[in-house]
Amino acid sequence: MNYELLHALADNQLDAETADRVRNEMRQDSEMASEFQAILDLKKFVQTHAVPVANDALWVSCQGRFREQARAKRVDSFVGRYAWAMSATVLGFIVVGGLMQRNSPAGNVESADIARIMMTMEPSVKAEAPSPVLKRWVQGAFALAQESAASNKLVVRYAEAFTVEGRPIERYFLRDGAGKLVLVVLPGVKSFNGLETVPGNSSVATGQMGKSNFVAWNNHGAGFVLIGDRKTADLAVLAERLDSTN
Amino acid sequence: MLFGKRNAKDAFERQAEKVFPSVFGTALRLTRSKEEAEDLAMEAMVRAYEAYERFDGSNFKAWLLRIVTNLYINRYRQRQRGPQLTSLEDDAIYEPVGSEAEIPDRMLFDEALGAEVEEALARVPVDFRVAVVLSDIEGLSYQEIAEATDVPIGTVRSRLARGRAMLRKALQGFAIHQGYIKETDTTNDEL
Repeated sequence: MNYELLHALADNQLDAETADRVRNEMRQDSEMASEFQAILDLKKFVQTHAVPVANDALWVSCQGRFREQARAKRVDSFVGRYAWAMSATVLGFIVVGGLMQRNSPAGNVESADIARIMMTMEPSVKAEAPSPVLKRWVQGAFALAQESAASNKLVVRYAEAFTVEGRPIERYFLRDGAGKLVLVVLPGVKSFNGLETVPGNSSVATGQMGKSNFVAWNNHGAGFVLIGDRKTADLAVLAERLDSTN
Repeated sequence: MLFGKRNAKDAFERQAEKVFPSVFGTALRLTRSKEEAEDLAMEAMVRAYEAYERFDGSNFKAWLLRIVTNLYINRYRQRQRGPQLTSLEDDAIYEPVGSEAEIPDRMLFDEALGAEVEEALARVPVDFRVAVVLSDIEGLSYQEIAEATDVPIGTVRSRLARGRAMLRKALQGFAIHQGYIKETDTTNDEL
C-alpha cells in the first residue's frame, strides 16, 4: 500500500487517472479504505480545531512599520534623484557667497578685524599705488595738518594699496617729530564696531593693537585708522587735525 | 507613477490584513513562542511589503506564508547548525495513520480541545510540522508547500504522511489521557 498516494488523494493533489487507480485499489482493500478515512478524519479534526490566531496589536505595529518603510523609501528616492541638484545648489551658494564677500566688503569693521587688516606697519612687497583721488586728499590733509602743527611736521614716507580678505585698503606710512605712524584708509567703511570712544570726542573711537594705540573715525565714505606708539589722546588730536582739514 | 505605487501599497495592506491571522498563526505554530512568532511575523510582513512589486499576483496568502516559512527555516537552521531532522525520512518506513480498529471514534476528535491540537502539533518535528500546518491548517497545495519549504514535491508528500502519523500518535496520547480510548489500542501505532 502506498500511503503517500492516499494522503495525496485526501489532499486532492492527484491527477484524475492516478486518483481513479487509487480509488479502485481502495474498493478492493478495506484496510486501505479505513486508512484513507482516518486521514480525512485527521485533516477535518485539525482544520476544525486549529483556528487562525488574531493579533490586532501586532497588525497595527506592522502598519506602522509599513509607513516607516514607505517614508524612508521616499526620502531615499528623493535624495538619490536630486542629490546632484542639492550639491550644485550648495556649491552655488558657496561660490556666490564668496564672490559677494570678495566684491562687496561690509560697510562696517569689527574691532577684532582691525588687527588683521593692519597686519604690519611695514610696506608689503606686492603693494600697488593708492587711488589718485584718495592720495590727493591725504596729501592735502597732511599739508594742512603740517601747517597747523608746524613744530611737529608730518611727512608721508610711503603709500600703498592692496586688499585684505577682499577689502580694498590704502595705507600711508607717516612720520613726525614723535616717531612713526600708519594711516589706514578703508574705502566704503561707514562705521567701526566694538571700539571705545575718546573722552570729549565722540567722533573718534580708540583701541589698542599690541603695544600700539590707534584711533579710528569715518569721513568721506571711508574709514580711517591711525596707529602709532604714542598716547591715545595725542593720536586723537592728530586725527582731529586730519579730519578737520576737509 | 507615484499614485500607482501608493495604490499598490494600499492593495498590499488590504490583502495582508485579511491573511495576517494565518501569517501569525503559522509563525506561532512554527516557533512555539509568542515573542518569536511576533518577531517572525513582523519581519515577514515588512519583507513582503518591500517585495510586493515582485509578487506575481497568483496566491497572496501562499506567497506570504512562503516568506514566513523561509524566514523561519533560515533562522531555525542557523540556530541548529547541527543534525537535521532527516533521519525519519531517510529510513523510508511508512506506517499507516491507524487501522480502523485503532482509530478512536471521530467524536473523540471533535470533542478534543483546540489547545490539545496545538500541543500535539508541537510534538511533531519542525520539518514535518511545517508541511502539516501549511497543508491542513492553511490549505496550501503540494506545489505551494514545496516552494515555501524549498524541497521537491515528493518530499512534501512524504513529510505530510509522516507528519500526520506523528500528529495522530500525539493526539491519541491525549485521547488516552482523557480516557476516550484504552492504552492497549495504540500498541501497533508506534512510529
